[in-house]
Amino acid sequence: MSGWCRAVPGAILLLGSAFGLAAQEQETHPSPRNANYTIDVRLDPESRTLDGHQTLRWRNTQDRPTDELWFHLYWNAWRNDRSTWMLQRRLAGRGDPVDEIREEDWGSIEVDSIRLLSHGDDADPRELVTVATFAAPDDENPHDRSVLVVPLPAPVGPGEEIEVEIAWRAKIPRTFARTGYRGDYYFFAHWFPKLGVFEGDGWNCHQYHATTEYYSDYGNYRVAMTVPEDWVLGATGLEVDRTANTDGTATHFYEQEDVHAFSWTTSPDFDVREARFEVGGLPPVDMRLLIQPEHLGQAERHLTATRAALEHYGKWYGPYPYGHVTVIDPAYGSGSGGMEYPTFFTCGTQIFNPFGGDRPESVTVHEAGHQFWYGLVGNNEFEDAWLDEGLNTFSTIRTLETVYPPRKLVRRYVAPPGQTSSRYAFFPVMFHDIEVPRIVDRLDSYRSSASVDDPSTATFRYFPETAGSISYAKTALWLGTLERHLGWETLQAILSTFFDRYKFAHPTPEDFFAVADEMSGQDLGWFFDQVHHGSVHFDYAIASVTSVPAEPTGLVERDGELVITEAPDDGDDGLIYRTEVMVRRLGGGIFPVDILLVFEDGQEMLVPWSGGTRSRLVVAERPARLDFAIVDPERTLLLDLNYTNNSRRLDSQSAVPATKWASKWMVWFQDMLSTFTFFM
Amino acid sequence: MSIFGAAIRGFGATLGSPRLVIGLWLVNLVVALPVAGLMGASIGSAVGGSVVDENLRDGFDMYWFGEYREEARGIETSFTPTLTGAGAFYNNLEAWSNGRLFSEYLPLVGVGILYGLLWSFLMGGVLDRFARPSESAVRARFAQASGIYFFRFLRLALISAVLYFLIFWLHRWMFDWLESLTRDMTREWSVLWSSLSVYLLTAFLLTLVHMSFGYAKIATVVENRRVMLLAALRGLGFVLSFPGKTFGLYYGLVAVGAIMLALYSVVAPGAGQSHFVTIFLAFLVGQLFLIAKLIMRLTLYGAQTNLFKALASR
Repeated sequence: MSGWCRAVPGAILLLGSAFGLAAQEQETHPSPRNANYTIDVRLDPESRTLDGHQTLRWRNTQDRPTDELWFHLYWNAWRNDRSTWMLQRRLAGRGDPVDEIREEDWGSIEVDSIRLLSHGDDADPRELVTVATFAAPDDENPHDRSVLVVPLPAPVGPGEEIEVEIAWRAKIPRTFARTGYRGDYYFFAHWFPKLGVFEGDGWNCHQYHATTEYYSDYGNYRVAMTVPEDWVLGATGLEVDRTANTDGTATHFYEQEDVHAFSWTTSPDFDVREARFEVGGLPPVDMRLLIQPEHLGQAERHLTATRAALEHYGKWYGPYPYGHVTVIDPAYGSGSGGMEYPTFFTCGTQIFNPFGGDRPESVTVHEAGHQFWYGLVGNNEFEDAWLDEGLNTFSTIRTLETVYPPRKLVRRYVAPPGQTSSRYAFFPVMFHDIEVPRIVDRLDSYRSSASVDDPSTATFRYFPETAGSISYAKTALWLGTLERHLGWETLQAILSTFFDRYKFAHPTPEDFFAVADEMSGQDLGWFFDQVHHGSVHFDYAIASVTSVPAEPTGLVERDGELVITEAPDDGDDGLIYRTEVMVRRLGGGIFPVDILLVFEDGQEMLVPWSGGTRSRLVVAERPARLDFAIVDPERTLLLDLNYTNNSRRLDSQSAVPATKWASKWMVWFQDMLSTFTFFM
Repeated sequence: MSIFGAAIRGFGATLGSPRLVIGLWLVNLVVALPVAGLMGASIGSAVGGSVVDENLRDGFDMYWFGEYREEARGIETSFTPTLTGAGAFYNNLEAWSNGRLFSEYLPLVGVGILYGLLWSFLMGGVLDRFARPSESAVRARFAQASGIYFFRFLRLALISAVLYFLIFWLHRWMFDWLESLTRDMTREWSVLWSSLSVYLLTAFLLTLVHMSFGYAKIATVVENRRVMLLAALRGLGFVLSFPGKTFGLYYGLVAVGAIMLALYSVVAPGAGQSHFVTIFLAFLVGQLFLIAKLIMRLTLYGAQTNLFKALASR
């Protein structure tokens, strides 16, 4: 025992008393504060271990008792190759992870002791770890130790509080799921025995899955972290004290109220930059950036992107209430980039990253945005990851489009060891005249797995490798579609109401759909049934176009006699053309779309279509030939998997682009042939 | 003979043989043209009658590309907007340096090998011309020399292929080793320099083999060698006997090529051509750079031939 717990044993009781008042004072706090942690942890860089001691004060907010506590022991997912996390990673087609893992790379967490310190007026300090068992509620995997069930001596009734003391040790893994070490860089996420969520159906405490994230109750955290004295530390919350110890270490005391997780990082290499976010109408936020020295030139880009998220999410959905945020630029190759934790998130960049490309802006805005969608609105990421990832992906793109110029195509060259993809190669080349719309990545990601899973399937049960394309991409696409269909004002009203109503709470998909119906003033079930409860794909197409003189050719009755008429010349003045456009719905998805006919004289004809039938023939008789027809001309339906077939000209004009791009390809191919001769 | 003198002579010999330059360029063009025709047909078919033609004409359309890439098969998989401008050359340079030229563009490897064989055939004539510039009846002699040396060069190519394979195997092994070595490095600069070292070593070994076998071919032509293993040793021996001049000449001309690529990167047309005339002009700029590269390459062969002839008898 050290730090707070050792130095001020009364502090825990005082803290407990304070928390005991929490139930009565709940109305004055933004969150229920029913899972409160006081943790004392020491990092030993030599043995790469954590030694922790924590007290948990938990209040049962449900109207039924429980005689168990369920804990997540996330790090046991990397205990060996039999855990559900590892099995799923293998199933996801990423090869056998064990091939890359050395003996010292595995991680684990061992709970040494669990004692009940208080339960109302009673306390039964028996050792509970001896009766604790591992559970695998999702797949009954007997080798999985990521969930620990602790029977209690007596049930905890509705509204009752208990205090539990837990001692544990953890072996720090080489990075899995952002957590672990590289060199003397350490990143700790979901690193301590963490309580699941006790809900109407009982404990919601899933095993750790390779494609899902987290779910926890809100509470207050007081954490003392002991690390080498000269190391820089960043964490959830604010540092309230720091003490230098006699053994060359320092203990950093951090506190944060009303959050559902606590993460931290430490390294001797961080440089620190601080700035303040101040925008009229929003509360100020102190920003602390821990950045790699080689990225100092990009410090302002990180801070600007964080400001962008705080400002636009704040104005669109609701203010960021914490007053501070810590931004982490992780060490090279640490694998801890691009992740969100309350008041604390990681970005990711490289030495050479030209402005106008993707990083660090996109990842910074995205992870800062998660402070709102995940941090403040705390949905269950095991079951409904789309609620935060999808809403946040949509919001990220919208923020980036609002703040930054159009993104340019960037190709990186010279890949580092262990990487076959050019994504992390060292040297970027920007193609200044090729823009890459930010939604296009999501459409490409979604296209390949559009029909694989219903988003209403619990996220942890998604087919391996589709979680990203469903949770992030599909949701962002259907939100973009809703924005174009309902208008931004309506969608913003939906999102801001949802945010306001469910901040510091655990909303479900049904809560979102109810708010959407309420704020749009219409039943959007037809839409959500397709995009959430189904996996239909959307594809509207112009199947054929004709535009010919309306005057019939052949035997025609004229003045009571049959006469033979010939086809008139197209050049004849005064001709009326009969235009026929056949539109088809090739996918199972139905969405109301417009059909636009543009004629050679510049006139336009817009035909609304419910999109319900499998085809629709549009006929027009006009004094000009058709130029082209297009279904969904405004591209309202972002989910349409093939937009190229949405339009068709009467006379194809593909020759110019085909020649242009084939000629560029040819220059490349000629040089490739020439390169081949090097080896002859 | 000095490096500079050899280079000037090689350059002069190349410029003095415009038909040779044009001929080799035309061979390259003619081999690429039908395959490019297939690619053009594929793009045309994918665009169809859609109005995305406007976006692809005025610039590029990444939405369309996503759909195209999803359906791409065979040579279509090699199409990417990053081959615009100098990107085309960077892509090949990277594929050359890591050996992925043979795996990344698998559908095109067959054509590449056929073209390589054709090039080997023509090299006999090219080197003969550089080796014996004063000979008459140039055209007939070129064809005759091409035929004489083709199978000898083919055998040399087989020997060099083994070495190239070993170099790429070594490259992969070094990268695996480097991955292990750098797994605790937290600075990108450290990993970058380590990686560049491996790339440079690979490039050095590739160019060493290329240079040695270049001199082996020259020795075959100049000394009428028939045993190619000995010719290969002769080439390597020559390089090692005169490392300053051979390496200096080779890397000097590589440096000139790098400067040319840098200049081309500045002037290379982007994606903005929207009419046949501008498309043709952009294509022409690309062809001019290809011709300039070809001239540099012939200059290297000419210069090496001169150097060999001047120094081999010592």
